[in-house]
Amino acid sequence: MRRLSLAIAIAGAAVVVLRFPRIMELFSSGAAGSIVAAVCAVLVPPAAGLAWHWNRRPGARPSESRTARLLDNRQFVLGTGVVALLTYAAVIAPVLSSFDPNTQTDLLGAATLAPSLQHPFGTDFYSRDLFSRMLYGARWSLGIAFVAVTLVVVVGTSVGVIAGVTGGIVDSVLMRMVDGGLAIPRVLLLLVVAALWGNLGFFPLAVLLGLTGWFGVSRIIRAEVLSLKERTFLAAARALGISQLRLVVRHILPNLVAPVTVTAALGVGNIVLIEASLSYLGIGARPPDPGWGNIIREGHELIFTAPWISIFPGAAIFLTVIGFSLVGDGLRTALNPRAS
Amino acid sequence: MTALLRVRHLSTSFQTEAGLVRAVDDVSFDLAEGETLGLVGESGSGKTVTALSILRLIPQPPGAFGPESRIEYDGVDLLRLPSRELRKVRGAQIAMIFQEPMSSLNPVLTVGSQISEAIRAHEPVSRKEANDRAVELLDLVGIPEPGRRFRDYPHQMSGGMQQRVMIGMALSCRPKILIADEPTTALDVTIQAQILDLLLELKERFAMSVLFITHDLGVLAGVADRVAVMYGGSIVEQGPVRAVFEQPAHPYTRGLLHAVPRVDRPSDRIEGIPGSVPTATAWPSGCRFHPRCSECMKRCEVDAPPSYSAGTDHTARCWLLDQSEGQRQ
Amino acid sequence: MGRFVLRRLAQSAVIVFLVATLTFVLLRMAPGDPVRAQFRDVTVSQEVIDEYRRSWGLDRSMPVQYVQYLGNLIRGDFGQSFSLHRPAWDVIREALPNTVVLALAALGISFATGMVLGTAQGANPNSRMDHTLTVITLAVFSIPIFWLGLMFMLVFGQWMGWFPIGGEVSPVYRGLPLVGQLADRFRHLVLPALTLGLGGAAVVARFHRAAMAEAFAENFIRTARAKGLSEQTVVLKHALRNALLPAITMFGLSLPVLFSGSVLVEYVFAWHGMGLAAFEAVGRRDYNVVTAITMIGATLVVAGNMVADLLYRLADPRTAES
Ligand SMILES: Nc1ncnc2c1ncn2[C@@H]1O[C@H](COP(=O)(O)OP(=O)(O)OP(=O)(O)O)[C@@H](O)[C@H]1O
Ligand SMILES: [Mg+2]
Repeated sequence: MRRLSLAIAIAGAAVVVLRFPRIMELFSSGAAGSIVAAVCAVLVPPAAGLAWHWNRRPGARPSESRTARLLDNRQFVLGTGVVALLTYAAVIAPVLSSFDPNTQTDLLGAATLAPSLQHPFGTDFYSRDLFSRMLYGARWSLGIAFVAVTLVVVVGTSVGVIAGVTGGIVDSVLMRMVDGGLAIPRVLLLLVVAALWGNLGFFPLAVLLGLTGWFGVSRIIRAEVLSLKERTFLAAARALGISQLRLVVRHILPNLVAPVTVTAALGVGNIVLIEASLSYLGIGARPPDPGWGNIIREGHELIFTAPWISIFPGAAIFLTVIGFSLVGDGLRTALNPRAS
Repeated sequence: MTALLRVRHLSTSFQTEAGLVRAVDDVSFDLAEGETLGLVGESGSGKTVTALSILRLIPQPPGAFGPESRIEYDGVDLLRLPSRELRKVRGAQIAMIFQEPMSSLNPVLTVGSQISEAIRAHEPVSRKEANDRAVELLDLVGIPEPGRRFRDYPHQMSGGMQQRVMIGMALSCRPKILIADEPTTALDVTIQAQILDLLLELKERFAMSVLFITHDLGVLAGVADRVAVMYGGSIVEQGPVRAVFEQPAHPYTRGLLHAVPRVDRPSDRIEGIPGSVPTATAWPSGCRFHPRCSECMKRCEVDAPPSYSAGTDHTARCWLLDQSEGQRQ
Repeated sequence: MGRFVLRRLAQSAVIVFLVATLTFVLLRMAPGDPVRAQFRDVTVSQEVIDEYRRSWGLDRSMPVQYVQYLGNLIRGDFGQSFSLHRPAWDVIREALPNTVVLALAALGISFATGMVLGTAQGANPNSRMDHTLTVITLAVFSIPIFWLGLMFMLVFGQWMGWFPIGGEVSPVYRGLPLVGQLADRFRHLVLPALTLGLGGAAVVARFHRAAMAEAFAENFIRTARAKGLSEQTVVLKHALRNALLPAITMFGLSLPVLFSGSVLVEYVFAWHGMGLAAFEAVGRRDYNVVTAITMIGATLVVAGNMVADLLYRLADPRTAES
């Protein structure tokens, strides 16, 4: 983890130095989005450097704790690194690239250019800079996944906790609902809905992905709550007459942090994959907005003449998914050492 | 009597996340032809690991044997035998039965096929022949309707029956040595006696040597010729069963005997000695028993005692014996 | 056992019914008009449109349509395709075999590869090979399937020229002798099946590794070794036999994933299966075809799950006779 902070600090510093004119340009542009990106670009290197410095002190953390196990887990650190760099690149997209992702630079002269210094990932059929489309595509793909996973976690946890804590008929009804939701092939349903409504846009798509993905989570959480209820400290708390709400907030929720984090981490990769699939089929991201799946769709026709159009976004999806899988697996082993 | 099995300086350790677990440390004993050696000790003292080490059934890694360790059977060191040769010893020369019959049988194979498989692993017989012998073995270990029971799956049998199947399986190739690791611990008290009787009877009939492992010293009185007492991964006392029972030389053995007031009533746990077995990651310094010993001396906390003679063929690892020697001279 | 089968059958029927109803309602709620979708760019008069709506029964209220649809369904009539002017069932009859062939080939690849890798890993946990394969399977698992298909097309279709890049047969198919026809079909199947099968292989391998490792930790493995069995017998007979039970569950779980994957693969390789047909039908607002396909898809998935459940019960002696 220490080395990771250092790597980010150095990479960030390099960006600031190399793209300094661009950062100044963004600051003076006056557009809120550009300024935020520029501020992030300037702030991240010192922050990462601080993290590195802080972690460097010996004995900065107790060696037997969960955190220590997590930070010693190579998988977790590697995955976090990948995810952090991708997210970082998405956030400071305008700093890294001087081109607008949707501007057709030169339809006649600059269409389907192979990667070069000016266009590191080449250009597409409409002469748009693919590097910048990829960076903005990261905003779309990661953004949707984060929003959708937040929904999954919130809804899944709420339903799971309510079912587990209340029990009885509420529990039965909720769980029958969940059974139904799980029985219906999710991607089939998504395909039908997305195809019918077509190019839903950022939030509707994120909501759709989120609302169809919480069933499994609520089951896990419910099981966790039930097993927690069996434990003595909860029985003791109940015997002391502590209210239901307090019980949930003080004793149950903190214990759910571990399973929820693991599911969330594994869920992000999954949603990135599904969203990319929908966009590839032309029923996700709305053109000309760049999403990674979208870009691959545009590259499909040109796969033999301009393969770079499809190669880079596919690799980006791959990196994202593997990054989140590593984080999730790492979290799971570190938080629950018995299940390794 | 010549020793059939000679265990010398056996040390078995496990590399775990919590550190190195020295489960068995410098254990030596002999098993003579036709003899029953009782190995007794509290839970966690290393009995099972000792037994598994003999047939090299310890998973490596995390397990590892110390460089001094030797297990000689019929003049060959089993620890250094190529695995192909070792397989010819397992089951055929030295067989083993385990503490939990239920989990020791494969749930998805019939008990009959699990026995005939053992026969066919060592003898060039047809499937039919092996099956017939398996039925005979089921009969031998006292399973009613052996022909029908042959096709039963383990879950269709009671614990006692399962253990009988395990015994039949162990005897299928007429081994010279039977290692029985707490064969009755998981069973009901009435069944325990039946299984014990069966084992004794078959031992005579097949003229086997038996390494009988138990945490119940009382059981050994009627079963064993010699006794080895294990504590904290090493053997603290061993000798003829009478000598050990009548003149126990080690305070730990005395504690054990104290905890078994009547030989005919087996007790479940040893309760006579305060405290519990220390963990194998951090043995106490000096004599491993010293924190629980009522006769503990200064040197016991510092130095581990060597093996002293306490009579003919009777040894114990205790500084008390050193003193008595000194006084005698 | 009989009661178990009956209960599962009833459950499956309910799920298929739910999926059909859901699709039926979603289709009619969605924007886009089926009549206009048929004419695309051609402008037609309102009268013509009304005429079509009447003849397709779309002029009635949704509940009435629904009851009518169910009535026809019970008689085995899936309705007419709006765009192709033929029974929706005909569309399915053409597409279904292609999808089934693709799915079976992919299943074969997934399970054959996955079980071999998982067994090898589970039998040697924490070995170097195990760690390497864990990384590889994780990586394969993370590749977007449609992208993998494109890369296969690029590498093995274009650069190497080993396999055709799309469709089920070549244009010259009809002129070939029988053996040639089979070979032609096989060559067309390789890339789509590999694309669809590899991701599954990674999932199966990861799952089966865990199952094998669990089986290996059981006491009966020690018994098997103590009998003097060869390591091969211990692995293949004792550990694998037990790890096969979870693999059956895995089979049931993999079917929905397989079907959604096949939509993408069919799209990439222009493979004329149910996924592609459904996709086109949705674009054309071809209500009856879409409903029929989702219903058949759901049937296949729940039937597969049911078979897996039954197999599990039969394969496990602890539940077999009850
Ligand atoms: N595979 C292993 N990995 C790590 N430690 C082990 C392993 N097997 C045994 N041990 C440790 O070795 C020590 C001795 O265990 P062993 O099973 O031999 O005790 P035992 O005398 O047979 O006890 P019991 O009466 O409970 O069967 C224990 O501390 C145990 O935790
Ligand atoms: Mg034991």
